[in-house]
Amino acid sequence: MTAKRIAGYGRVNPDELIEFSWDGQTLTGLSGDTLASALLANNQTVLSRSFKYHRPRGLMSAGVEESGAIVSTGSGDRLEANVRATTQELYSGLQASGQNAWPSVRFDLSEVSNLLARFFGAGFYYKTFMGPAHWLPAFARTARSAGAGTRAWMFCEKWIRRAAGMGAASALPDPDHYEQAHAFCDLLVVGAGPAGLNAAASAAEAGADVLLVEQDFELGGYLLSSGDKAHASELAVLLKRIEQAGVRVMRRTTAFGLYDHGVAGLFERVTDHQPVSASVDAHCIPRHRCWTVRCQHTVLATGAIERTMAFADNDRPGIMTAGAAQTYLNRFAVRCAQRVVVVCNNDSAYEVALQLAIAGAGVTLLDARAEIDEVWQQRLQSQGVEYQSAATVLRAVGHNRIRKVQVGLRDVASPQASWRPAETLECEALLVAGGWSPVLHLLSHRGIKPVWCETRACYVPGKHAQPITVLGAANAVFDHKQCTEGATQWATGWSASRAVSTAVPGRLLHGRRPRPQALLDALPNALPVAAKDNSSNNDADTEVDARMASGWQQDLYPLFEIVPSGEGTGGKSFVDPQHDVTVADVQLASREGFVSVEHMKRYTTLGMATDQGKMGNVLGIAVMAAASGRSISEVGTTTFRPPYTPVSLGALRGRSRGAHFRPTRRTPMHDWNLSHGATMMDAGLWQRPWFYAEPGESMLQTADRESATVRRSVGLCDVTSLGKIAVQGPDAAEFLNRVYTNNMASLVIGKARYGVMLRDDGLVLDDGTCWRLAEHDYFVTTTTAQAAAVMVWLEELSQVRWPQLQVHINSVTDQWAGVAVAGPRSRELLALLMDNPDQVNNENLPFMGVTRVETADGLPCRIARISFSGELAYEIYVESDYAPYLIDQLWRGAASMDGCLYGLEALNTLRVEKGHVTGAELDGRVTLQDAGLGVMAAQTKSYIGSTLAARAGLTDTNRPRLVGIMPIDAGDTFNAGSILCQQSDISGYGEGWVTGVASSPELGHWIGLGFVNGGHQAWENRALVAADPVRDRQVAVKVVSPHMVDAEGERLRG
Amino acid sequence: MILIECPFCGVRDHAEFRYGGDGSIHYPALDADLEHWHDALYLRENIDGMQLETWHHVFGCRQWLLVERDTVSHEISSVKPANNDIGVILDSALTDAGGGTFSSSVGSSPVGSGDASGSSHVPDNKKE
Repeated sequence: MTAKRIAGYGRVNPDELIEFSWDGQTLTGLSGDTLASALLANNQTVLSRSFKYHRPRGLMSAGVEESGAIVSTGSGDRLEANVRATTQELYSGLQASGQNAWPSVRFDLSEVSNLLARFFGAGFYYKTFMGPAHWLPAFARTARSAGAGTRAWMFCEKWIRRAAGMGAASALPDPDHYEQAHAFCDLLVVGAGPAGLNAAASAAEAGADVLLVEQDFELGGYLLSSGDKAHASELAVLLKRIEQAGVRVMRRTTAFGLYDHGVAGLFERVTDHQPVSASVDAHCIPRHRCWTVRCQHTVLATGAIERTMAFADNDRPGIMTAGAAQTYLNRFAVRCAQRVVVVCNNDSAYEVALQLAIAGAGVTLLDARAEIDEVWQQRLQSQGVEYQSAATVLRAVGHNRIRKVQVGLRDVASPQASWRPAETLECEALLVAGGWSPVLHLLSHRGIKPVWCETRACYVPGKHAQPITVLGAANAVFDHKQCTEGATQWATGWSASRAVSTAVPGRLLHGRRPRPQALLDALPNALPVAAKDNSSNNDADTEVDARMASGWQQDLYPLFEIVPSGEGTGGKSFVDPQHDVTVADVQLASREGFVSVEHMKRYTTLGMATDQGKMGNVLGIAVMAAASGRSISEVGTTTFRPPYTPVSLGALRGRSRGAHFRPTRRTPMHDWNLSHGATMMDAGLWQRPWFYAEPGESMLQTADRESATVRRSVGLCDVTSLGKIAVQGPDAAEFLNRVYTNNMASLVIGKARYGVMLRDDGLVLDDGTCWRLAEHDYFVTTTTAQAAAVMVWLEELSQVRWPQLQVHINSVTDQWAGVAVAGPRSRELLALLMDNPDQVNNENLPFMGVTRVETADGLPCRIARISFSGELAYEIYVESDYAPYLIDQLWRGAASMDGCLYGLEALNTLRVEKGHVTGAELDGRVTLQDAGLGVMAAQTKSYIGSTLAARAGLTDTNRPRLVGIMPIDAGDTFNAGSILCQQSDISGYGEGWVTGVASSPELGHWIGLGFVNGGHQAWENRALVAADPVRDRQVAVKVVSPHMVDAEGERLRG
Repeated sequence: MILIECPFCGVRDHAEFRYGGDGSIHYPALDADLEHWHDALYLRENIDGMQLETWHHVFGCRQWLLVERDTVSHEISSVKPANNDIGVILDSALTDAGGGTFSSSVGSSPVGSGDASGSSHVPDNKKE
């Protein structure tokens, strides 16, 4: 037996047993355990296999920084990979297993890769797979060209990916719910340790609205694990204070990122600590919530993370940080081992050594420093702890569990730290105390670089002027008293200055707020790093107490990599265990010139695993500093980016998934369409009728019937999704005249005109119609796809460029619903709705005429005689609520005329036959001339885009121009997206491309639209091939005029 | 997640807005020559510091705004209606409440006033 529960310790409940499963076996833990503490208590030492070398790994920490105990939980659609066992709360029925191993973490066949480790240094994959790959079999090595390495990589990738990796994610849809939420507060306090609790309590007591977030399930931070009775009562007082002061507390919530203007992202784990059934039963309870918090000021009381040191085989199971062992003992009542060696370079490990000795462990302490403080020596002796100064560990021995360590000693007189091998010590656990790294990740998110502090051997917050204050250990204040007093003092000062600044009137239109910078100047900045000050000690006893509490009476001896004198030990010294990055890798990077810290990171992948280098980064930077002969400050540090710890994709997406991934827009006729047999399709956000099949009809048969019916009789189509814009005001005519390429000022009242808008650069933005309803009142329609963009554009022009024009622009897309009535009998149908059929005769409503009439039923409508189908046709718009009634009335008449409803498919056929362009052709790359719309360019005025449209590159007559395309064999079909090539040269970009195809019942074969260099005149009587390399098809086609049906347009007019 | 204080709607999250572009561009008259249009459309400063830019309050009042934003710190030092005439109206409405700062003195606003075609709302399409 090694690890053991110790009665009388901890915050776990020994009377409440919890059963869980680990790698298929049922184990028992206690209420209040994490998965890690329960596994430790059950003496499970190997918890996962490493990323690259498949080395056995165990617990290395007790917190979010964990790099070893990365496990999988759940099963099926709730399989969760890469869970840190140290942060997973234990619950009844929790399923957990080791990962990245086969058949099991204790016996993993892939560990053979460890034997080949010397070939797998930094950059192995790049070096191996970028050059010619002579080592591959001939069938894989297709050519000794520059691309051979890439092909070799593609050949090997699937095996490499399988061998090197993390856990496997579930491929099933996520069954859980997620939410997004917003919160606001005066002060956001991140971290509920001594500093955070004191700051939150003091600020709230002074009247601030305080939000306190803690990633753990218990508040208290270090107070939970220090093992000091006084701390327990201090915590109780603090909890009472924050409750009474009304601090809002969020536990199991991580502030994962800080953003601009006082925004923090919070990740709340709502049900991850419960059996699945409980959360599913409730069903309305989300698994996670992603919060957007806005606050005036942020306090980072995020604490510090203990570092390890780099010695040979420092990743063996049983090696963890000293602070972790202290947490397992004092919080979870687990003594990590019977026989313990503690290796340190600072005072913080002493308390741990003593506490473990008191809990019954045999402890040996090795301090790298030359001297050990006398008070400490007395205390160590009194508890039977053996100790040695100027000593460290050279190598860990053991495989699935550490068995002994080799001690290294240094000559204190020598300036160079070189360690000579000494005796070996038997042990079951090795606790490493390499110093503490303040958690400054969130500060880094705000672009504030940490600064290396030589005296404390850690990064400290850099100077900044943002409304963020770093308190406590995160500010490198490791003394408990200084920590709590500093936090209280800061909160009091902040509250006082806040009382002044909030007296400034805030609301808009009642005077301006002070600028953010002025606000910042009024606030106290981050407290300066507390100076070490021993001068105020006046009482010997309190001095001893203060020393014990601070643990920082003696300077830390900065020790990162332990370099043995003479021959190396041969083992690997890990810097980033999760990504299997070793000291040798960092040194290799240095030798190969990757000395910039950013290059070193990417070359070695140091700090790029799921733990983001929380334990390893500082060590890696120190190793690089030593290898390249620079100081740590000179090496610098990489930038931490959000998230601080992993955030589920579900939480980031909230409820916007599945059908709610984006909004759905339905026309007022949606239900009517469905009840009349419509199959819908997505057109942007809109749902539009695709086709109205009769029983037994296929989509193509339906479209053929519908388009033929329109050409023969009459058809109705829901065109509500077209963008509709009211342009009104004395300068509306002038405004539209500047926007459209053709003349809109000359449009007479009661007429409509087809119009095209260009962008500033002279390319086509959109087309549509423009109706003049009155002198100062225009009704503009746009395409469905560009409706929003055109609206924004017109608003920009009217407000930003031409504010002098008196014009008002309003989107009325939702206010008016429209039906296209098309076909030779459309006028006859329209007349049925009118009191007086003459209202819509050729005289009163000529081609491109507009009328505003009431139907016989008193339905007010706007009708324009415009056509997209090429037939006699009208667009009728009514106020949206009347739309179902309108289409119902129209349908009664149409049915009696053997008419039909038609959807997008038939609409497409009709417009392809006529050569009318849509978004498929107006793709942002075409000019008016390219689209066959050259006649739309007014010669007598300037308009948006007219100058730049005249550029030589845009007026070249050999540019791809709109053409019609027909198969040479009338039985052939071809695909949209095909490349049009000459028969002799089917390669590259060819001569053009196909934008749309349709089956034309009118012509009796398939037709298409597309673009061909020089237009159809250049290709008359010459064959082309519509090549579709994706589907491996080649169809012989001919190029024709895009106006394939009724080229003269006679049907429109009569 | 920056905050923009819309002169019409109040302090709002930038998710309600759409970024426009450089607010300091003098767009030439429609009939200006190719070189002027080319420069206005394609030549941009890459400013490290305070920059004038246009934003559109799409999910709000749908007004285009002129925003002075620091490209490094995202500090926003002023927000005005892009249409200076509206700024003048806002300011005069605020006179009683101590006055506002939504308008620019004549000629200082680079956007809008630079369009030679727009010195009045009389159409100036000379070729027509």
